Amino acid sequence: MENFKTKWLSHPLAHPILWLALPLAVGVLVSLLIPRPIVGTIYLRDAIYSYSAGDIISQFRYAYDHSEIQAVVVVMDSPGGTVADTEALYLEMIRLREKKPVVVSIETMAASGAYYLAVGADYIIAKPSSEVGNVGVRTVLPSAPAVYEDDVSTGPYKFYGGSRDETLRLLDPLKQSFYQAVRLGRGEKLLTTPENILSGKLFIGSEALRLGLIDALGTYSEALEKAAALAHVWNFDTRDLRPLALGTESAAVVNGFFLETEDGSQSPYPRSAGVYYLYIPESDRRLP
Amino acid sequence: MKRYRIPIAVALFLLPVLARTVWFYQGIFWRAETPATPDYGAYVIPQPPLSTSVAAAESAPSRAIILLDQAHANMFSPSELESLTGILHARGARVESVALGSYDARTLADQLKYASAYISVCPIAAYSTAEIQLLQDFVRRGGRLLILTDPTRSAVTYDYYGYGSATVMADVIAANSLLAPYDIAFVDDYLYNMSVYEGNYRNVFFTDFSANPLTKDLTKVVLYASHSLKTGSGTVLIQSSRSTKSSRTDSDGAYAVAAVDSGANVLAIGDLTFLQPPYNQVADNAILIRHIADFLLEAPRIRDLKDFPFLFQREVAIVPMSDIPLSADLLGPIQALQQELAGAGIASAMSPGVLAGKDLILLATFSSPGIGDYLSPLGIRLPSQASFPSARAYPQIEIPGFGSVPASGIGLILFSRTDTRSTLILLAEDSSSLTELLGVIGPQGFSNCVLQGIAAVCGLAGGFGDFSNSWWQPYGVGTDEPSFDGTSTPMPAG
Repeated sequence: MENFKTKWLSHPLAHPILWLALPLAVGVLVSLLIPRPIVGTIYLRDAIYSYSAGDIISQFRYAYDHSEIQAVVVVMDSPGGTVADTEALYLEMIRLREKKPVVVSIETMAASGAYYLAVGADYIIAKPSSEVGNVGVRTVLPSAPAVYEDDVSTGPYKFYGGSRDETLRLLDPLKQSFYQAVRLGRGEKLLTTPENILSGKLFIGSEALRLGLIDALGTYSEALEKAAALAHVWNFDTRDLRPLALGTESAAVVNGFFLETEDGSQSPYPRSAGVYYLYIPESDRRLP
Repeated sequence: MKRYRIPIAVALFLLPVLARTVWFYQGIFWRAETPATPDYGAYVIPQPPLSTSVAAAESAPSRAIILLDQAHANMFSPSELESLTGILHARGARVESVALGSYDARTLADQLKYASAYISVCPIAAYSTAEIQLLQDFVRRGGRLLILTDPTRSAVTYDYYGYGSATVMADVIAANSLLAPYDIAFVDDYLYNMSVYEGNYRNVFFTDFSANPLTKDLTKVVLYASHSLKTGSGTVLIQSSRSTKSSRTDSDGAYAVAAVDSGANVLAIGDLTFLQPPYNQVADNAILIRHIADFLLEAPRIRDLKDFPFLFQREVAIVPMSDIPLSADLLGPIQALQQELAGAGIASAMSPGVLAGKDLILLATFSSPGIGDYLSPLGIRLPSQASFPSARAYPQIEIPGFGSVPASGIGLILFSRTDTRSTLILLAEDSSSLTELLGVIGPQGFSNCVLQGIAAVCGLAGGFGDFSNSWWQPYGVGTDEPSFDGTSTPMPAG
């Protein structure tokens, strides 16, 4: 063994190999520490409410905290949801965007609160027939105050939260902040009037593009490429962030957002009254 | 060579690192500015404009009765009209419901006899042709019609057993059937304004008013989801700014929301919500509501004999003229007349003479002394007293609108109203004819009588005044006087 070492080191090529190969090998090893960039995907395929929002916020945080996640694509198919959860998602997305680009890919629908979230992204891609928009707020006015024999409270609006008029007036600042979010998100790209946006119309993807509500028509793959381009990465990997952030493949439905009808099917109405950035299809606008 | 070893080694070390870096990264993502978010704290809940404070004008007390339609599936609760009915009550008026299935047997026709105005709010069930005609006649005689609709008060029915389709029954359909004779029609829409509104896009400011007592002192009113309306011959009272849109077309325009007909007796407004608290106190809405109350209370209601027994506003003195003996035959019909009046809530009492502060029912014959003083203001000319009781001479009575009427076999019922008194005169040839004349008065009005405004000419069974003999020739087809053989029509036995 000693002879072999002496013989090898005494070889005329031994020193050059040592000086060349060793740094190269170490360099290769070190380079492997450089992570392959990942474009993470977050799926919003539900209404926006406490559970769906909680899941997605966890994924936003995961992307925020993990450097290998270089960009995020949010795939949307949602009619919107509660105002508070929509705002929570929107603000988490804005926080993430401070570090990483976010691209939204709209599948069938990004209505109301979902579009609120979409305008917080760097880039919005939709299908030509995706339904986009429905900017606005909705609620059901409470009943006129009444008193009951057995069900008692300490104030006239304890049961109702406020008068009908006050509840109606609450909608306006929410509508204004929604519109400001759209204006801030779309900026100069917005090519239509505030009145048209605030009318609450749903636009198909191609029309939404013409009006500047979205940036492009395209596929999920194009959304990934756009996100990678914005992050200045290539040869990237893609990951569904849900299993990474939550350890589960699919959302566990703890408490559904929508009311179930007597036959067990899902109605488009939320389970509880409240203030919503939510689109409810006209044909289903019927209390079960 | 040795001195290059270290740089070469370093280069070789960096080479794979750089290669991998370049393989994956084209550059560094860098955002210069934090993405902006809405300034949530800057948005405030809009508050309604304060109402204009205007002292209520002194108004004369009223005894008007206002009918409130609740017989046409009206989509409202009477409490929603309290801002209006409160004023009406405060001014002495009474608001009475017109309801289906009521224990009150009064029909709409009966109620319209004593009413000054009729309010219909968001009717869904159709009005019958008879009802429309009754209300037309009511308006023709100075009654006032207020029709309020509201786009939020449509009735929606669902086909639960089929595809779940919804059918919307708008209130404008029934309302328009009432308004059609007056050239006013509501549009099945709602108005909105996306740029200038009161708290919500469907709450529209109105500042364009035409000169009218109903719009006096108005500078701005707010209607809370309103139908627009159209009128040809009527007067638009309140009109939107041009930035307001109709949901029917989503196009801008100056839309009318309130109008009166050409006779100024029919008022149509496309909103109900402005009457409800707190909206009745917004801008000049309270003033508008007060004007609406005035409109209802100041109906130039023309009372005529069709309105019997609701011709009187206070207690009535029944006064037989001096030539009328209060015989047993007469007392019975007089008592029936008093019952009829009592049923209408009008107290009455026999009196030997006219009493100040009371209305009057005068029982008289054509030859009663002093009767001419009552008749001449009505334009009625009696034959000279010398011609009575000679019925064969066929003395003629001149009655405006009727022409010459033979005095024999008929009775006259005449009504006059002055500032001081309402007077009903029952006039016949003699005491027994007067008894018969009292008998034509019944719950359904006057039987066997031709009514024309303030006069009714009644055929009496004891004379030849049966209209089948037709002394009355409205078309001028005959001028011969009817023959009279001096015998009375036989009365049924018993």
